[in-house]
Amino acid sequence: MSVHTARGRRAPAAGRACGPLPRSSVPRAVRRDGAPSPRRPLGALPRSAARALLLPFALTAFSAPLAAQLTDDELREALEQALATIRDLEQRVATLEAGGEEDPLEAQLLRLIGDEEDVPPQRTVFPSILNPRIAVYMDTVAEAGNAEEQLGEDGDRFSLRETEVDFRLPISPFAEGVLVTTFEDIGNGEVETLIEEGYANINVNGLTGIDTPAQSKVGRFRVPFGRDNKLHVHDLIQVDRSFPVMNLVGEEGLIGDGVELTLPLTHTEDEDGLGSTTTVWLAVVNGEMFTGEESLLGGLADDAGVGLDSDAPVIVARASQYMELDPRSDLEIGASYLDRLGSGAVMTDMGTKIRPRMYGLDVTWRQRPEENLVGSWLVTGEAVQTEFGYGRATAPGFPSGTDTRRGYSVTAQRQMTNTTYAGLRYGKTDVLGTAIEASDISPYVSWYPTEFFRIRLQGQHIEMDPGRNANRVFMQATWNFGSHNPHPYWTNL
Amino acid sequence: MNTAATLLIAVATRLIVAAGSPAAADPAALAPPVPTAETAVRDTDDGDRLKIVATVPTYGLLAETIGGELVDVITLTRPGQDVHGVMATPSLMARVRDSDLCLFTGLDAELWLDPMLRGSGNVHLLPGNPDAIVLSDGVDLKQIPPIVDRNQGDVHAWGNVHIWTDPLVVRSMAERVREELARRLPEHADEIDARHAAFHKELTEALVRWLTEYRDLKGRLVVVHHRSWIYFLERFGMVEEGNLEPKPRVAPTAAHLAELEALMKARGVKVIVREPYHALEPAEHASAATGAEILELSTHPGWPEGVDGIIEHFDYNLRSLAEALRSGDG
Repeated sequence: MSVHTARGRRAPAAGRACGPLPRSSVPRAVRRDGAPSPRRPLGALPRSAARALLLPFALTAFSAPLAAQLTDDELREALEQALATIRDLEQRVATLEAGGEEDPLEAQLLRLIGDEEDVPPQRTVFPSILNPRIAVYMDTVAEAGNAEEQLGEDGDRFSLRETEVDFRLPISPFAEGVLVTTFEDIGNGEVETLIEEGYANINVNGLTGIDTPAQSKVGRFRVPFGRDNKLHVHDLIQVDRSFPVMNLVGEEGLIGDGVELTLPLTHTEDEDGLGSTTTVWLAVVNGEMFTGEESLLGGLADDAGVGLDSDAPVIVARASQYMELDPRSDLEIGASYLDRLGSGAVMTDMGTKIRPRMYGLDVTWRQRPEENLVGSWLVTGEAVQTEFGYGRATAPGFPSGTDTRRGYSVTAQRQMTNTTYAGLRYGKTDVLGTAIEASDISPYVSWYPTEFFRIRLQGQHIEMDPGRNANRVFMQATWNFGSHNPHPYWTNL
Repeated sequence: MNTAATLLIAVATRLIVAAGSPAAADPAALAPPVPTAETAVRDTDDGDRLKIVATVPTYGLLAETIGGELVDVITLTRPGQDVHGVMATPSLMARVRDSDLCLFTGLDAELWLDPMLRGSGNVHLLPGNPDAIVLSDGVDLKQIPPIVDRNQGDVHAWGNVHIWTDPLVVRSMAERVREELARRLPEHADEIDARHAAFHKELTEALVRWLTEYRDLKGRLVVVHHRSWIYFLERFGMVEEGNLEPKPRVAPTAAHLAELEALMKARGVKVIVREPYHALEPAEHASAATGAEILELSTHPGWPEGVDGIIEHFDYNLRSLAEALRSGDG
């Protein structure tokens, strides 16, 4: 790395340190108040007027023998030389009028750059002017196979599965407001509207003055349990969520109303500059849990007229260790925990009161190819265990005592070309509310014709106890319009 | 469970205490801590260096060159990396957490910067704040799209953002960096001015040399993979004749390549310029069809290996281009 150091000479005064700036397209100095820096006057005349006066003299000087003897090209060249001379003279006059001494190097550069048209000073424009940044994500899925007859699931159809509208904008110097609404196809031509997330993301230091890097969410948000659960549908690296998340956490993942604190604890770097970062998330949300039939805030219980007023909130915690293994690969290990806060019961979507406890473990390894060429790797796995304690069975078929269920999934993805990724996911899980154990293996290929349009083909082979197998194929198209927020770092490379 | 609850209660108590403290009751304490000219001045006598975060290596190197030992510089992209594709990893967030100054292009070049800074908690460097230094200010932007929609591809709304490829723009950026550093470190202003003056002189001499030595490149035609080079090419009078991408960030199609190759043959284009992070196949296809040479130019100092300084970086690019463009000259 070259270092350009002072060579022992006294620096000129600031502002004239290096002679006059050439005329723009070179960036002009812009004053702090946004006004362009004043230019040096050429006497009392505008520069264009001065040129108009000088040009006839130059043409006269060059033109006497020209008309009869020179070709058009030679005339043009002579004219350009004359103009260059004028520019040089203008520059010298301007320099002298400004009270400075001519910098020959600068003058030489100016002659080489040539005379460029003046442009009005530009200021950076940021796209959000009190209006939120709006992004719309649309996700269509076509499904074919025998899952409907084998598993009783809806299938064999085209579906605009989900439309997500994402609004976000700073609401104060220390907080950002986020609203994520979804319109989800629930079959039979019906669409369910949902506020998937709506929160203020607060910089704690800015709000309170406490010297901390902590941030806090207040409102409704995806709770910090595991890795897959935090993702919106359009960010998933497969068509659907992994089996353990769908069956133990919820088809839509776990979403809650409450408050969350994100606290980066430590960051260290070794002698090679490779970093290691520990982060903790802590959330307290209303105690409404998914238990197997309906996800998200208990649609079934509502339908049955059962209230969802849980007696206790739940606390969700996650800790992660992110490590840069070398300049091109990193590893993150996360552990998650969910429990009720206090001694009250948590209400489920089935109208059942339970004592929930959940554990999660996730690991993600990424490797980028040398110099960002094609061939990145992503390997990620997640395991979930739920322990739901039932005081008494309040719904038919639900057990009493503690029901412990487990599941895990592993995905490996390889970048095949600049725009295509191929991967394979395997998952195995208990299914909540049943005695069923299910597994799936899902190969997939994702193609990004542009950053804003993705086409994905995914196969899935499902095996469920006792001996029910199904196969299906998904064709997914996902696109975005409007403002586009960057993906979470682990969803692609 | 009890431990977690205790932790939560402790945090909540801390927040409540802070909210009720005299500092919090003072409206000024709740106002965003925007540094004024006075508050921005730093005392570096105790070895407390100005911590600068730069989005690309060129900006980082400018800060190091002009700030010397007065600054600690963190650069968020690697030299051979696509500036559009940076991911906000926990480590990058941690590195920018305590930074005092951010040097970035602005416009819509670094869309990942905002979530990274928010994730880091360092909201004082968010665009629009005094310590977020937009280095595209005042630059005459090129290729401003007449219509901004995705029919134009992944188009930059305000114009081409690859301004760091023009050495004259970099020279002006250096002046801006000098101004910002001197304002924050006034007791070291002479040292900063001297470093800047030396760099300015060296770059100006190089510019004069390049503009003289490579004068014959004026009017030469070049095809590029992505529209990353327009400022560089036009500074030295070269012409961007076409792009391998039919539209920005849209992968080359066979039909587009066929059309482009016909154009290259007709116009006698000898060089295809690409970045290391783009697919090689389209360039190889066009090269095989037209005989044009493929050049991987240095997007920033530090890539390829050995091309480490700003002057060397431009030297490398000009020398490579000149060799390729002159190769068929009689």
